[in-house]
Amino acid sequence: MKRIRGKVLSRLGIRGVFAVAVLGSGLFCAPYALARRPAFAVMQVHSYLRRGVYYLDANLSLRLNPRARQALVHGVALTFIVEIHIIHYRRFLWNEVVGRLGERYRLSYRPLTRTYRVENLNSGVSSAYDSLVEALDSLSHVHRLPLIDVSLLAHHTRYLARIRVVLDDQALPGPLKLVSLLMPGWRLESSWNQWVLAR
Amino acid sequence: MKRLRSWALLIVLIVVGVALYLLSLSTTRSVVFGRWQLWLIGANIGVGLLLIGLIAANLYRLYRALRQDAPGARLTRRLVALFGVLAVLPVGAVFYFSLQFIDHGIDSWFNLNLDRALGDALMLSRRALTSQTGLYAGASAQAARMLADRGPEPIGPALDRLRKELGAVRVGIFDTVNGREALSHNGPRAPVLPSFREGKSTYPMIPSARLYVPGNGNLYVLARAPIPGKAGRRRWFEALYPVGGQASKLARRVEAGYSRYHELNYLRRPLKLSFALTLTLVLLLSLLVAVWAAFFAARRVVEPIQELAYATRAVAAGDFAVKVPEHSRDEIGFLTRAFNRMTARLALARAEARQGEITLERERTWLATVFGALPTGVITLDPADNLRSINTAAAVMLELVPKRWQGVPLGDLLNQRTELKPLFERGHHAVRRDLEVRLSRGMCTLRVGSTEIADTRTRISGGWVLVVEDVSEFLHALRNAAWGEVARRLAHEIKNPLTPIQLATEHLRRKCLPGMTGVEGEVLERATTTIINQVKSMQGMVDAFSEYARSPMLRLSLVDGANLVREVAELYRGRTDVTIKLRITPQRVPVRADAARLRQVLHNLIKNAIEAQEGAARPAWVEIAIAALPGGGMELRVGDRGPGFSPALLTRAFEPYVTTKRGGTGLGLALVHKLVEEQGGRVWLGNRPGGGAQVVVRLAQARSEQEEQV
Repeated sequence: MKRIRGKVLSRLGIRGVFAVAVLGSGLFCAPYALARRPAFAVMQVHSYLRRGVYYLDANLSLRLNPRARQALVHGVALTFIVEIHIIHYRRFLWNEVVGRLGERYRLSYRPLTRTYRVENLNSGVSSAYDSLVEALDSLSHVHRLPLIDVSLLAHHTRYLARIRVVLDDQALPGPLKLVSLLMPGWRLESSWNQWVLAR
Repeated sequence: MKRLRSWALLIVLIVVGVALYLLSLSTTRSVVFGRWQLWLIGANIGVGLLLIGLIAANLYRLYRALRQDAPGARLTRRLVALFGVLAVLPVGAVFYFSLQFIDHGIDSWFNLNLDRALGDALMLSRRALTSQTGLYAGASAQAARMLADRGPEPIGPALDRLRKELGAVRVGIFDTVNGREALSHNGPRAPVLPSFREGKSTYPMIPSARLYVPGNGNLYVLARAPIPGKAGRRRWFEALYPVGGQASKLARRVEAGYSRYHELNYLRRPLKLSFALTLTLVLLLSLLVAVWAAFFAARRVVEPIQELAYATRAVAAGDFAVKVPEHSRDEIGFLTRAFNRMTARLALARAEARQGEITLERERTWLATVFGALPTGVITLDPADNLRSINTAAAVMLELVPKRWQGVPLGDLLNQRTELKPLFERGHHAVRRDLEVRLSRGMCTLRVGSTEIADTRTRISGGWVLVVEDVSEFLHALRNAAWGEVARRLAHEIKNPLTPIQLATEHLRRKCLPGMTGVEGEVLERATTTIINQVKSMQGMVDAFSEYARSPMLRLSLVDGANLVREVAELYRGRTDVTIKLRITPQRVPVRADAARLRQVLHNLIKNAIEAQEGAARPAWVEIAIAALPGGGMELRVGDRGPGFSPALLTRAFEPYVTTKRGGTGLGLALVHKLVEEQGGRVWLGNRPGGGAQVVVRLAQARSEQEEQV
């Protein structure tokens, strides 16, 4: 379905855009309503306390659709964000997000060496891989990620944590950004995965 | 309200402008506005929907105005259509050419040759770099052999020496069993060997070398060579050589350029799409604003015209008080001011006209009152000989109902009242003549004056005015007066010699008769008797004359007519030769009259009736009827069974000395007429349907009161 729509849009070309735009804002919002198979998913999460700091291990499943893969090969860098929220669980009030973490990774293709490069934008550490599978595999494993210092958390209080991984569409190049807003194939994100932060 | 609308337009324009500017900015500078792009598009679409709603509302209002045929609706439609076309055409042209420009302009940045050249450059760079890799592979194989053949020298310093000889940044010895065996590097910043990383250890069967980019992004050549040795323990040598400065720099630059170009090439379609979308949105919003503004402008233009149209309708309906507000100094403002001046003048003129009308109406009423009060009859005719007006006096005189004859052709009137024909015979000049006309009340002498009403300027006939006077009474009075004078003189002149004649005759008779006998005496006897009798008769006649001439003081009082009739009739009761029949409808008929005169009238009439039946076989029959008139007054009818009045007599019976009786003075009916008229009544003669004469006396209450004042 979405493939057909994408093809139709691309075939309509630039002259068709006017017609498409006029055809109504209803079509504008429709793609968001369509249920899709998640391309990103959080497979496994484990957090633990070591020397007063919570750490996180997670296994993610990252699958790039052909559109994203095409863009990557053509030199568009993709930015992934592993978003983690620390939530103060309140029984009688709405929950409060007390901490937000965003691990940002940039995946890019190097045509000279035909390698894929993964760069952790938070730490600046980067590594190169010969294949996309290897590169995504390296991204899929979050290992020993420090979450929060236990001293920052209140005693006798229940905390939750949740994690998800998204493709940062704001980091896409300008023209693609507008298109990514309108086309369903560019909306890559996992659902939130929530667990109790054990002491 | 108008000011509010202007502000609303300004605000909407500003909002649309800002939203569009931000949207266009966000398309080109994605970093700053990226996060807001969706909101911006949403806001623009929202504004667009708002505008569509406003336009739809305006269109609906216009449609309704057109259906109701409201003033200005057609003009609004034309203006909106004009403005709309004026807006759509340039916007459409701009849209089309902009799309063309975006399409071709962006495409023109890219071409196949450049694409291929960059690809070739990249390949060339790769070739140039990989050409060195063979040398590094050989050198590494040699180093591996050296390591295999080395003596008792410890491995560490040997590796260091080898690394320095090879010019590598990092070297290492690995085996399949233990992993790393020994490492050497020229500093801690040197990149880590791939085999050092877990899961990357694969034994190279033959020496090999390839380009390698570690995490720091610099180019290196990674060379690996197996170290010959005993079977079972597989060891290999790995070395990382930095790629020479200039070549690496150029290669990386080529790569960056290639990457960038490819990215741009790939982004070409999304770029066009986003540009086109933004352009579409911008132009669509501009168009919507233009159409809305067209409505706005049309309303601004049409409103004063509409006001004028409404005001014109009001003026057409007769409302001159309407005033159009003046709020512009342009031609429409001038028109409005002129219109207001015009309505003000019209109002003034109408007020004057109305004043004139009122004056005219007053004059007309005054004239009508004067005419109505006039004792002279006035009849006006229009040029087509239709009756225009008949005043009360004329109506009474000619026995007409004034309202009925208004506007009726004269011919119709004359067809019904042939006796009036001579009245309306008229020449071209003012004529004044007396006419004898027979009306139901008797023969009347009417004095008619006719004058043509001619316009002094145009000399066109404006109709006729007839002045009618009933002069019969006046003539009668004149005649009466003349007769009275004659009677008085006659009485005086005759009475004087009559007494000496009588005395002389009696004296003669007394003196001579006793002395005469025979024929002479007889002759004298007869002659003197005749003289005395004739003198007596003449004396009676003279008495009658003087009675007629005499008119004692009128004493009007409230008399019961019925009672009076009964009293008079009672006097004739004893006579066998007269039968008097009374018909008294109400038992009392009060009337203001002179009782003595009325009694005499009755006596005269009864006497007249009896005398008219003298010589008949049967006794005289007299019928006296008395009735009250509706407006007060009484009507007295005295009828007989005599021969009746001949037509010739009917007109002249009231004149003195007109008689059919031998020996009658002819003063009976004349006296009746005189007595009745003195009391303000009328008397007329007629014949009864069954034969015989009838005299009608009518005493009206109103007339009697007037008479009393006189």
